[in-house]
Amino acid sequence: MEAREIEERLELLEKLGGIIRRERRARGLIHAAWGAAILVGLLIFQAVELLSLPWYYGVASLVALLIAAMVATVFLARKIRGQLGYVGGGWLGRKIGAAWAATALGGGLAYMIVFWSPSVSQAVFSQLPPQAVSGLILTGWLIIDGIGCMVQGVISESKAFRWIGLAMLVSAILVAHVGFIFAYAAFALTFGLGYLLVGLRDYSEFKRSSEAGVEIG
Amino acid sequence: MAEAERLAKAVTELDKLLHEKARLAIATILFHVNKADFNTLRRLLKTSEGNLATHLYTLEEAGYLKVEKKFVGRKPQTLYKLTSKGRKAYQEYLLKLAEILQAGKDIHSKA
Repeated sequence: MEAREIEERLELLEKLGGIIRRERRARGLIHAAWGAAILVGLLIFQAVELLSLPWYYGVASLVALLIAAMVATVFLARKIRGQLGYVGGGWLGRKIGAAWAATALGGGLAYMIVFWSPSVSQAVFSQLPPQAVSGLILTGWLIIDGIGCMVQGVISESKAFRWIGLAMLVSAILVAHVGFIFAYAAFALTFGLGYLLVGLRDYSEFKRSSEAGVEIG
Repeated sequence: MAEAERLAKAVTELDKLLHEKARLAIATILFHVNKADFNTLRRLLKTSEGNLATHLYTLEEAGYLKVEKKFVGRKPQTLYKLTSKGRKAYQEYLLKLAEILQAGKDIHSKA
């Protein structure tokens, strides 16, 4: 076997990997939809908290927006499948999914169990006003999802997601010092805005890319 | 000498089925996108329908690939997906390729 043969295979792997990585940016539309829902939903929630309006106004608008994002995902996935012939998944998708399951599901569940354990919850409720408690819970999620974002950035080699994750961790520290009541705005302006902007950027990059395929003879 | 033996061993252990350029390209795409239809594979691999179909059949016969047929509206659609055997073979192929590269580098640096 000649060295040239191995080089050709490596070139092929690199070229195809590059095309698929660029095409995966079409998923930016889905990220943008979720980012917009979280941005708007949590900013409304923040206003509800600051204006001392009934809490269910915040919950109702957030839930409605998340449902809208879910419905949009179905349509956008269909649109992407129409454009590309596939939506995503594969090796990278599985790795990212597993990483999110480990951080958000595994870490989040453990966090909630610890938080609601009698000794911790009693200590928290005796020290903080009720409005601050939900902000404290959300601050914990800022840390968990921030780690999730950073892991996603590492796996997918995306600087943008690493920066979003870092911004979430920094904002959690700020919220802890300034006031837990601002956790909603912190989550909205890091995770929500970050996903919205990165998603739109990725999609516009996908629209600009024009490489069609590789010659295999 | 040990490097040369390592290189020769890795070369002989390369999966010949996947080493063929078209089949390697098909496996690479399916490894990264999970499922793809025939037209998508044709779009990404500029090759003839006959050539692509032949290689897909070879991979299917080897148990590396499975075919799913479904209807989208009234149109029939054939989707291709790597089996777990195919995914494992592809990952092993990449490891062997990396081994060959490393052994080649070692030989080069000693020369």
